[in-house]
Amino acid sequence: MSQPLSRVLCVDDNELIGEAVELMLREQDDLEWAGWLADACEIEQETVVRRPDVILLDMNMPGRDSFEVLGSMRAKHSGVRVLIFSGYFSQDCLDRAIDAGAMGYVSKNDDPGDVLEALRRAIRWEIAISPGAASQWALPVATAASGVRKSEGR
Amino acid sequence: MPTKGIETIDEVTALRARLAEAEQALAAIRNGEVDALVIGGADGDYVFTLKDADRPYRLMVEQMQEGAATVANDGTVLYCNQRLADMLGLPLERVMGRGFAEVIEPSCLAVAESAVAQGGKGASRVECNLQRADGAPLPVNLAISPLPEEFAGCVCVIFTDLTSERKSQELETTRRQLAKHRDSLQSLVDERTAELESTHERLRFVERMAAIGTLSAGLGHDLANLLLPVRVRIASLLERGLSAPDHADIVAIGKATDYLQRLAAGLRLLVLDPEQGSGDSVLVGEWWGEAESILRAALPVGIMLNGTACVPEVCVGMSKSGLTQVVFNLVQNAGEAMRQRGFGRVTVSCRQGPGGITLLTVADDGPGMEREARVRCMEPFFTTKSRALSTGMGLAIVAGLVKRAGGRVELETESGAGCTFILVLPHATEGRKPGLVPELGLAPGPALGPALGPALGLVPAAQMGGTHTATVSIGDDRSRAHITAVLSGLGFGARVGPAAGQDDVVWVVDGDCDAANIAALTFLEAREHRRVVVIGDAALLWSHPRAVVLAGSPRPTAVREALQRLAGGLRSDLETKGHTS
Repeated sequence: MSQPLSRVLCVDDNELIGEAVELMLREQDDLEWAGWLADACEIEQETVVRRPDVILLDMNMPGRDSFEVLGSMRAKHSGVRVLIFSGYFSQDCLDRAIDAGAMGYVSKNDDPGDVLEALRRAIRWEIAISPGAASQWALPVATAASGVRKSEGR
Repeated sequence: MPTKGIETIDEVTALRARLAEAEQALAAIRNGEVDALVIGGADGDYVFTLKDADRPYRLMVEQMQEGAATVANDGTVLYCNQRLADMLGLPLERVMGRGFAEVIEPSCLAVAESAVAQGGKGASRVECNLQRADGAPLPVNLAISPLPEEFAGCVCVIFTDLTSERKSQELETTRRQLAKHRDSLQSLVDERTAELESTHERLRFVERMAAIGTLSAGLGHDLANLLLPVRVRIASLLERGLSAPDHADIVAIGKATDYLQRLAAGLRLLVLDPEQGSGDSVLVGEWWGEAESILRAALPVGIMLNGTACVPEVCVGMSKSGLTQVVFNLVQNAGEAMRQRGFGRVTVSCRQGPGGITLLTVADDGPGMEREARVRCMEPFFTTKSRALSTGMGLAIVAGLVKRAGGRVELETESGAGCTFILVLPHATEGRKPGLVPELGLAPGPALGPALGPALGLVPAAQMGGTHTATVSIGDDRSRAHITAVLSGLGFGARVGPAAGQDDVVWVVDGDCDAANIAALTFLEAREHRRVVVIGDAALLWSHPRAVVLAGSPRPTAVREALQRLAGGLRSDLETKGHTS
């Protein structure tokens, strides 16, 4: 029996970003497009309808504060992983986002492959900081090893 | 005997008699024996009373504006005029007979007495103060002249009041001082006005730069937004098996997109505060990949940028944004120096030096610097360019950032021979290097994992070097993910599981599970250096010295800080006890 596909919702006021993410997911066997929202005003209700496993959430959208959205999603849909998806990055933003319940931070400047890998990590309940975001802040990204090993499932 | 001769003899005799008479009269006058003289004139005789002959002189002395006195050789004032009495503020009769020392201010007495003594022999002058009856000093000039011998060593002293003169002098001095103060005030006002104008100019420049910074950040963001869909479509097209010419076109478009992407990244690096992440480090090769396009864009047309000599694997102890801003300033300066000439080359190169340092060099073949510019170029606000073009802060910022990173800036330049700035930078410490857990031989993972440490803001000094393992037994998915990521970032071989491994040094457990608490206590007691982190309330482990209890639902950043402290303590403990693995 094949694994169920993980559904990805994109929330960004730029429709081009939504289209790009949809295109990225088109060829993926394990990921499924759950749709695009131009703002996060009704994200809780849309989550019930669209049933995403992971959400790519833009930081600067009209209508609603993204940190407030993160807190609300953690409270109402704790099983949904939310990744911040932004062109901006700062350590303070990352700290606030993680504290508010984000599973990580993905830069729009990243390669599409890195964005997909971040989605898969979030789906596995692993914190995902994309190379673009990390490299803007601190050390360059090494590709030799991963620091996380899941020995037994829970 | 002829008559004429006899008359002449009579005349001479008469004249002699009159001469003798005149001489006798003169002697009598001299000796004070004559009371009056009768002189015959055309209109009759004139009678002059000799007793009143000195009266006009006496009146003149009384009327003069100067004080006058005769002083005996024993210092007694024999006679004085009313003016002197007025100057002293005493009645005339109390001045005469008074000692000279009593009318002169004590501090001036020595010079005054000396002048009087000298005045007995010849005229002398001295300035001193009179001692007035009311105690106030009165500045005077003393003109002393001897009296004839028959006055037995007496001298005549004329006292000229200098009060007005002194006041005039003081007034003149004050006027000059005021003029001097006015001049210096004017010069100070001019100087401050110039500084203020210069500050306003710099402020306007900084405001423009801030606006450009904001614009750059927005541009970088929008570029990233627009490039993502483009890159996704390019990737999609390349997978469709296009014809060779179409494929080549798409690859070319992809290259242009990559360049724009690097430019967007470079714009963000310029906008970031270099102070943020100042303790971080950067691989020069990777930094160059991101920064090259923005550095190239900083150069005027005709000025080439050459950076092929960069050593990619060198890791320097400076934030990426800090290094970008340092090199950007140097490259921009070099470009400006050659702008007018219209051609030239800027070379950025990097090599490892002795003693764990990295030498990053920015060299140009421009006009170089004159001596003054060479000596002062690192000073804040020093510039050889127009203020409208430069704040003069560029090289000062370069020097400040490099110094803060523990390095220094060296400059080699001569007029006409280009400039070479050498940044002597420290290597990154071992703990800052990427590849946190290679020793465990874990399966190679994607790009996301190993960067977690710095991205999560972990302190490099607390990293464990990848030789120690930790298990996370936390029920909440989100908390477990964060704790695992932080432990990995700190250099632990972190795993998720229900029970600690035999070789684990750290175990993170839920506080609300009694069984886990008992197991954690057993885990702690089995080895002396082990640590346990409890998320939630855990009465059993609360007071254990090697247990960290984070009650309630701690924020991820609070958990991260606790784990950082734990890693620091554990590392120190293991080093002390000789546990190296």
